[in-house]
Amino acid sequence: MMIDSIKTVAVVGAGLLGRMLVWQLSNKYPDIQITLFDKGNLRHSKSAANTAAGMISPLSELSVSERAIYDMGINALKQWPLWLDKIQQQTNQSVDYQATGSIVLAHVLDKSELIQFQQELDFKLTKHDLDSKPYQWLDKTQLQNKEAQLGQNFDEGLFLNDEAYIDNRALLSALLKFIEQSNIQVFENKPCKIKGSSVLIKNNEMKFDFVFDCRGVGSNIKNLRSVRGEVLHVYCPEVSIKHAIRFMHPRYKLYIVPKPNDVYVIGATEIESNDTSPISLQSMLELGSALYAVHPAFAEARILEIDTNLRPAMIDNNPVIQLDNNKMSINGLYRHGFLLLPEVLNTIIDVLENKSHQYNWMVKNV
Amino acid sequence: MDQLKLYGQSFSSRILIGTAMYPSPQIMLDAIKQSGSQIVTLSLRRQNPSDQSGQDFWQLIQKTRCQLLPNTAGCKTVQEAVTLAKMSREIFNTDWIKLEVVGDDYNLQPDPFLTVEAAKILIKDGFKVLPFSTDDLVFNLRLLDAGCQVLMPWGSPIGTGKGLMNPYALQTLRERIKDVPMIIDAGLGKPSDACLALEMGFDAVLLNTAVAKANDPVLMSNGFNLAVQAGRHSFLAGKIQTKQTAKASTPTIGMPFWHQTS
Repeated sequence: MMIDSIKTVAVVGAGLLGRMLVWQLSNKYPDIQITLFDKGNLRHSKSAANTAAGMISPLSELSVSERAIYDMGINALKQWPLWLDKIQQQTNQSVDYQATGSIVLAHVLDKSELIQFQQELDFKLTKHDLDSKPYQWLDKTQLQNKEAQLGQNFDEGLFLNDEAYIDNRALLSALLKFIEQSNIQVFENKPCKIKGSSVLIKNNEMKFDFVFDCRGVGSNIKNLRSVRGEVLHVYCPEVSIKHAIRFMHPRYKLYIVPKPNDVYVIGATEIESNDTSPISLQSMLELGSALYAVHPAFAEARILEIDTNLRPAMIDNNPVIQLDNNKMSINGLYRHGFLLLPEVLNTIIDVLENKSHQYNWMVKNV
Repeated sequence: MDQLKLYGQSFSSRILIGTAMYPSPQIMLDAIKQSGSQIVTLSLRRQNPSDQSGQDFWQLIQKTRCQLLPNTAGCKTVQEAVTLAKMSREIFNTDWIKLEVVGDDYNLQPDPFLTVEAAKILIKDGFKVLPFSTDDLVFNLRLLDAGCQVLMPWGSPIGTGKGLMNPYALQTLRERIKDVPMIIDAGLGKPSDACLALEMGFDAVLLNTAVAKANDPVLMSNGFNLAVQAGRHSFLAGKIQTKQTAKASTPTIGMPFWHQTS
């Protein structure tokens, strides 16, 4: 087994993937010495996962993704609660996780967007999937029963059963605690380069048996690109929404995800760009007016935070695990970080242990 | 050989295709290939063009080796459109521009007054302007007065998939403006819409949503490719006149005509 010959590893990049990988390696192989590198500060993470809304929504994503993404997401829904329990036991920090399903809405005038969405799902789901009724149409009353405040403004919607959301920042924080209390060396605020299985900080070269490149858009793997996203965090105690909401519009598809303490995260934008500048006024107005359209009480919400970040994506928008001798680059989790992570992480372990797995399309030897 | 001529350049394909809304860049590239298109449109408005931060994506599109047709989608004023056109010319090294000045937010109808004004400025500045217009005859005539050598009337509003909503107006356009290439831009929902446009004598079609948002964009793209060829062949071949009475295509010898009662 490849893993038997590894005594020291470097994990470069301490976003969601880097941290979860450290956690998994540390649990599975307690004898391996792990060193974690990040160009930024671990406590104030600038990773895409920190900006994300933390949705695990295989069905919603299926409409614009390949079938494999859906299957990986369904497995993720089984895996996350188990992992979060373990993380809580280890760190005494709980991470909010709600597997309550999500609701898809559109204005009356844009009903065709809902029907188009349903058509996209039906095209990619098998008869067997559809037999288990993964989604249902809700009329006004049913909508009101699910979300009392939404029934006032919408006559119908779609309910997607197998969807969840996770408190992404709480998870990053719990994982940081785990790292701090474990025997893991951390180099933060230090930009570094990877050369073979060595990590270079300026001219200081550190050799490892194996290196994991988890740098997301900071990686230099071939054909990687950035897709910009912009989100708002608002505080709005007047609104009480428990489900993740997808709001369909002819020109943009928005999501609203509840977070603890009356906070909501709203995002939408997918801009093919590596622009890290602040949010544009247009995006701000679109996000704001969508919130207002979902519930007028959002007008009095307080904007806590406006964030922009870059999602790392490959040309097919699918994840990739590239193996180059003693270096493994994991990237392209795109807009599906929390959805893909469990299966990506399990596959990494399978590759390290030379076990067979079902993701030959994801693992590439270079 | 039957070729589409736009601003002195010849193309064998009569489809212009957009680069937005595909499930992934790979599917976009495959769909462009299947469409047979030699001209692709792209928008850079929201990619912070002054910073050139959309490079990765633009390079992918440039790899197709198609003629690039940057657009001014989303611009609402003459100034915005002119500025964006100039940035596009610098970034993509082409003086082709699809001019689009939005007049209404909900149906994205082009503003005829501002489009004509912007066209004048851009043509004076050396641009090859392909203006997005409606099926309004006078709007299109004014664009010709401004110096446009190609017109791009809509079939119906962008992204609606309603096809050729006003065949009368489109037919009038084609009959009145015979010698200028006209491309049906926007509103096509299915290959038969494109086929119909070509049968009516329009020179080409420009589409995006109908392909990008189809369940299978690559297959739909091929469908449009075939439909456009069918439509063009039909136009060139000259269709038969419709008749009220049937005329059998097999010989009718032996069928005595005096049996007919009326």
